[in-house]
Amino acid sequence: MSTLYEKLGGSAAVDAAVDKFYRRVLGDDRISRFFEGVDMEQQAAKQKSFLTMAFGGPNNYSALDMKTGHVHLVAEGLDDSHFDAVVEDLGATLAEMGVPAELITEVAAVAETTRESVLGRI
Amino acid sequence: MTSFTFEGRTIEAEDGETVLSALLRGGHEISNGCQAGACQACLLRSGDSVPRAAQNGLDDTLIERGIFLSCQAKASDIQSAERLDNEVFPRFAAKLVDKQWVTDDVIIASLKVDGWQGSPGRFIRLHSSDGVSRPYSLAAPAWMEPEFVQLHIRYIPGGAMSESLKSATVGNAFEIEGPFGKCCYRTTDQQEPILLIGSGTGLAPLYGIVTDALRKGHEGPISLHFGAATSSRLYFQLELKKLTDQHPNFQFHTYADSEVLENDRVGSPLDGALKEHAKLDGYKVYLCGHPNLVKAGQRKCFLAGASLKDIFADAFVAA
Repeated sequence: MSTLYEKLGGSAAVDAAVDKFYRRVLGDDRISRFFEGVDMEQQAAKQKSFLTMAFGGPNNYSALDMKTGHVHLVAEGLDDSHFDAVVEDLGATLAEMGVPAELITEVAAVAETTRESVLGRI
Repeated sequence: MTSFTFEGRTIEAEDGETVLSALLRGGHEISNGCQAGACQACLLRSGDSVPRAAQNGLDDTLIERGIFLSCQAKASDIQSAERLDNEVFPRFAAKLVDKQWVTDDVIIASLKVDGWQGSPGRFIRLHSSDGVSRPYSLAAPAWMEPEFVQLHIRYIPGGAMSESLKSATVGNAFEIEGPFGKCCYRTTDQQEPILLIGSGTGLAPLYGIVTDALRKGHEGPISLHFGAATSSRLYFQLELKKLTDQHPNFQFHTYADSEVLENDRVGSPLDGALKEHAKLDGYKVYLCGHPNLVKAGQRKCFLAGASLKDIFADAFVAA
C-alpha cells in the first residue's frame, strides 16, 4: 500500500505544484488581497510546506501554528468563503497537473482538517 | 515570555520578539543594519533547526551551517544561538584606486583587493577605517580585472559611509567582507532569455550580471530595463551602449519619472519591461533597487509566468 504522498509523486510533485498553485492563488480576486505586500520567498516556502501537508507528506504543522499564523488575516475578514477558494484553487492546480479526481478528493480532505484552526475557531 | 540560550546564557524575550531585538535589549553587542532581512549584518548560528523564513537570501553553504538572520527569527523559533567565528567571512584589505561622481548622488568607487575572486551581482560589506560598515552590490570589476572591485554608491547626505567616501582619497584603506547573496549570473541554459529590471544604484549588480553573462558566452537574449527619478540621475549609458554594439543579443532601455530626456522612456522600468516581455515562462529574472520596485517586480514577473526559483531579487534598503 502506498500512501497518498507517494501516489502523488512525493516532494517532486510538491515542487511542481508550488508555482502553479501560488500563481493561481495570487490571481484569484477572491483571496489575492490577503497576499498584498507579503514577502514572495517566505510565502513560497509556506506554500511548499502547506502543499506537503495537504499531500499527506512529512510535516510539522500544528493546529496552534495554523491559528497564530492566520490571526492577522482573520482580523482582516478571512472566513469560510476564502478557505473554500483556496481548496478550490488547490483542486484546480492538481487537475491541471493531471492528478486523478479521487486523489484530489483525498487532498481536499486533508486540507479540510485545517479549516477550524486556520479560521481561529479552536 | 519565551527564552533561548545565547553563548551559554539564558536570554528572556517577549512574545513575538526577534532574536536580535531580545539580544540588543539584553545589552549584547550584535552587529546589525537594516533589520529587514536584506543586509545580512546580523547573522548568528544555531545548532537547532531554524525556520526557513529566517534564512531567506542566504547562500546554501550558510544555510547548511545553521546560520540565520537574527532580525528575522523569532526568539520562540530557536533554542540556542551563538555569534559566528571570524573565519566564516574572511575580510580582505582593499585600497581605493579610483573615485568618480557620475551623477549628483552616485559615486563609483573602484578598490583594489588582492586575491579577490569576482562574483558580480552578489554583495559585499564595505568597512571603513573608522569602523562603519555598509552593504554594496558588486558591479562588473573595474577595467574587467577581477582584483578591482567596483561599487556604485548612492550618496546620502549625512550618512556615515557616504560622508566617509565623499572625503576619501585615492590610496585610502578599506576592508571588504563577503561576498554574500544569490543575485548573480546563473546559467542552466546558454540560450535562455534573461530580463533585468532595476532602479538607481540597482544598476550596479545588474550591469555586473550582464557583463558576466556576456563574458561567459551567454547566447540568449538579455534585456535590461532600469530607471531613476529624473534623466539626470541615470548614468552608465555609454558603457551600456558599448555593450550593445559588441553583443547583438543585449539591449537596454532607460526610464525616468520626470524631467525625461529624449533617449529615455517615461514611467516605470517594470511596466516597460513587462510590456515588451508579456510572457516570462523560461526566463531568468533579476530585480535590483528600490524595495517597492523589487517587491512589485517579484509578484508581476511571477504572475507573468516566471518560476519562483528563477526570480532573483535584491532590495536596496537604506541602513
